[in-house]
Amino acid sequence: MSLDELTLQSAMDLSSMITKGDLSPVEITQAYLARIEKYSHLNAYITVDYEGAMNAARIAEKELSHGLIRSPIHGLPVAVKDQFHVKGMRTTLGGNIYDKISTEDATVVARLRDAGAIFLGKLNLSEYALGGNIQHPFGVPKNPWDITRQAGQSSSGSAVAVAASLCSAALGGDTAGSIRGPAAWCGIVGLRPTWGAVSRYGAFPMAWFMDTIGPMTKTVKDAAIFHYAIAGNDPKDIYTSKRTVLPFDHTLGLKGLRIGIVRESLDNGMASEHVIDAFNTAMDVFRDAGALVEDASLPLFEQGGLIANTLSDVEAAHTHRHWLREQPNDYDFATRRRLMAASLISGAMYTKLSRFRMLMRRDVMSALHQFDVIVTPAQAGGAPLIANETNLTSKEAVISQFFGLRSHRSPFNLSGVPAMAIPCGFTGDGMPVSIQIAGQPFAENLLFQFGLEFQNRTDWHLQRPDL
Amino acid sequence: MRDLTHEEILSQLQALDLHPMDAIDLDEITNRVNAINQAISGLEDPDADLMEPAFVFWLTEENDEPR
Repeated sequence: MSLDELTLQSAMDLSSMITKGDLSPVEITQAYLARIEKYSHLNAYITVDYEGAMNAARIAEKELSHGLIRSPIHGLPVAVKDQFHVKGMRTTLGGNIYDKISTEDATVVARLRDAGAIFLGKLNLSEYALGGNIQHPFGVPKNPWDITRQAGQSSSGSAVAVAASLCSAALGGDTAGSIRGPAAWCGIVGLRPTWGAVSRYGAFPMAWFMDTIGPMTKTVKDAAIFHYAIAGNDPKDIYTSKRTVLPFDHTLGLKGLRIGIVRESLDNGMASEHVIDAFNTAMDVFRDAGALVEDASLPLFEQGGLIANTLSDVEAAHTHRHWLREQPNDYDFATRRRLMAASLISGAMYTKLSRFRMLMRRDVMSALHQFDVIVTPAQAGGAPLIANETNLTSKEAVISQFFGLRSHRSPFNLSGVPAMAIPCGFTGDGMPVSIQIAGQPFAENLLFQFGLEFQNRTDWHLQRPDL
Repeated sequence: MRDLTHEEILSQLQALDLHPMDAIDLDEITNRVNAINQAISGLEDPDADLMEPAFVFWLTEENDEPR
């Protein structure tokens, strides 16, 4: 197998080769850097650190050759969303306003570095991690499965880089679906961890009570290893849990475990026919694995997009208030309109939404007392074409575009519980489709258990786009 | 609630020292605000007035040490 072909392997497959001495961190880093150049038209990266990556690869190779194995990710080339600070590297947040050389690592970056990961660079994103922008200062991230289509919002570059094998794994940020959405549209695994499981120190905020950071990977095993590397208490983020983070046990099966299908995520036009077919086939896989699959209900499901998007937009409008007044022209037009609109949402409306957030949490937790996990499609349909306009020329257009069909990931960010997107098929025109599995707070390992069993019995995670 | 007009939206924005770039900006902002207000007004749940808003879940639920 050539080095270029090796980049298509999962991170854990590469790790196995590296720790056995069968693969050089220097050579695999060179291979990824070559691919980043070759497929630069995908606009996955904002900054590539050729020199830093090669230096880190040489150090990793030396350490490994002396028998020092820091962790399973030692020697693996990775990249992070340009929402997180990496010491000595430029941070842009995907926009025109903020452009600084970081003086400190974000905690997640420091943890990956301590574990021996090699940083290839910083990944493109929707402007300020908001999503919905039309203009991209660093190029529109293109979906590797069809470059005329969107890669999702807002961890778009992270999803493109993993799907196109431009890094072995990436980190993204998920406030209202920004890891799971791009993961689903690009056919990779994306974990939104429990709120408070992973430090946000050194990450630019959107909505402090929903912001999370998680891995975006080719496989569930990779996600488990990278989550383990970054999770755990951090005194620099007072909202990180002090719970002990346990490694994932690969040996557990699904026999007797209970899955609840959220009916509202499938019925009444909430998902396309292809998505429903792929989802139902995935449920058969779980049944074959011995899980008990029944219907569950989240009555407020369809309202999730409205609640989550409006709360996070109002929070973002506050964060951006100075730039919005002083440099409105420097925003993408869609972002500017969105933030200005959010600036006008009344306190009474915000309070009502905050109460509905708690009602959604009540419903999600109630379902999770009945079932070990609850499942939905991760998206309503396949990735749409890249847009040139917002087309929000009426109130009805806004409602149609932003609320109901954007709800699939919202119940779980509103509730603070972990949720993971896993590829489970394709639409008729070849775009990836994913299921989403959600569990109790801090039950990431249970999600991995379900995801691993699914991937042991299917090969969707082994499909690669023809670039 | 009734829809806000372009003039009302512009007045509110100006009070916050926010300035749309052009008429298209103002039109879309107006559409967004009216859509959000209409959708939020339509939210109903019997427990809506009983449920207190909270922002941090597990700190109280899991007996983590106070910080």
